[in-house]
Amino acid sequence: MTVDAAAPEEDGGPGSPQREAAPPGNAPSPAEASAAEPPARRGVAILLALSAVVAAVIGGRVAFRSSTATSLWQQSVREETKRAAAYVEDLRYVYTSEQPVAFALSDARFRAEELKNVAPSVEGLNRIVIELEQAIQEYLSSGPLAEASLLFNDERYQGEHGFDVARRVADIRSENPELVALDPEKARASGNRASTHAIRLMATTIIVAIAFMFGSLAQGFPKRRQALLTVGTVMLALGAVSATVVEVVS
Amino acid sequence: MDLETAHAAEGKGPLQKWLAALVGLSAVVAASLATLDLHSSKRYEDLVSRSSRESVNLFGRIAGSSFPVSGMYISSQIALFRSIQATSRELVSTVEPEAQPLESALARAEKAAAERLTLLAETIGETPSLESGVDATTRDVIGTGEAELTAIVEQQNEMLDEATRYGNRSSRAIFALSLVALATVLLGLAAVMGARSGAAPLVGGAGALLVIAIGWGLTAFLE
Repeated sequence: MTVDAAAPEEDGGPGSPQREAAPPGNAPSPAEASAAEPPARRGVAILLALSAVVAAVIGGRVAFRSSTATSLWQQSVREETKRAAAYVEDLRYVYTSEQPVAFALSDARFRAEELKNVAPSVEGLNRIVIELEQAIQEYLSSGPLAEASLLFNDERYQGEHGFDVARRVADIRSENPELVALDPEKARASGNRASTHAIRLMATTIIVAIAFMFGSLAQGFPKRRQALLTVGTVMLALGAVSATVVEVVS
Repeated sequence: MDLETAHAAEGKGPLQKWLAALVGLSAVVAASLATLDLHSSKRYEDLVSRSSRESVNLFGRIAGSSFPVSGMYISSQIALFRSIQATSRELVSTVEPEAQPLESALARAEKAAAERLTLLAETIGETPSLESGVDATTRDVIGTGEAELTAIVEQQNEMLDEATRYGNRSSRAIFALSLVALATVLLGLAAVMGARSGAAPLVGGAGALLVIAIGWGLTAFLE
């Protein structure tokens, strides 16, 4: 759509005296028509076009930042799932695979130690029976099964009442530091920043739209065209500056 | 579309003036509604993603906190079994005097072992201390109680309620935007028709649609 076609009555459009008076074959070229156009009307076209361009540029940037926000929020969900799967698996392993064995071995060790304590209080065959039972419990708590149980056997995990399951959990967790370091809230915070950025940028298009509105009004109200154009231009500049400020600050 | 329509609205008559004003207004309304929609849809997305995370968090905590507690209860049962065994030996020793020295000694040993096992079982269910070296997240998960789980569920429900509100707001903004688009089409048609008859109803219809769009957009804030 050109400026000429947009204003048929003023520029010699169909039915206008200017167009009717022009001899056939002498129609003005586009360049001539453009040169003959009043500067204020060219200003309207420029303002409207610039408003559309600025709005489109901002809109494109908004779409990009909005998409980034969505992506980061989805990433936070993925990280939350990954983190939960990691700690559930670690806890499951320690408390359902290692801890029951270590507890059964502790039972044997405690019994062996307590049988050793009571053995001197009995004599004869009874003492032999208790010492045999003590030997069995000692074997159970020091044999291959005990050696295979880090939680029971490793000195690192010895606690006040037996083994220290918490320390074992800490070690198992530290085997995958990247999973321990997962913080979904960071991704979410980044998503929030991108979202706020997009919304603020989008809000600046309202100012650009107001500029467009003044451009449109300038076209509809020729008597006040210059003033409306000035206000429109100021609004367009304000919109562009606002968008730039948002871009720099956010 | 707006660009051409606005330019076509050369202000020779009242119709063209209305056309120019409505085209400008439709641009402002459209930008405002688009901003409202973006804000609402982004809030909706954030809340839904947080709600999804809370679901994962909830089930992670339920599972994660159940292992130490289950471990403690099962171990306590073993310790209790050992204690009952010791008591049984003491009872038997009173019935069979000949077995009394042996059974009594075994009972003492098993009772002492049972007491130590009970203490050990209690440590299994404890929330790890800061000094244990267990990371904060895992300590928090192990220490999760029913109150925390209930609070998470309530928080999640609130998030979903809020997300629904923002979703509705976004839907209203989108519908209002559709009305603005329709109004712009009518304005474009009126601009093409120029001052011919039939343009005035189009401009009037577009104006009415814009008013409805503004009103509809405002109702979004009631959500």
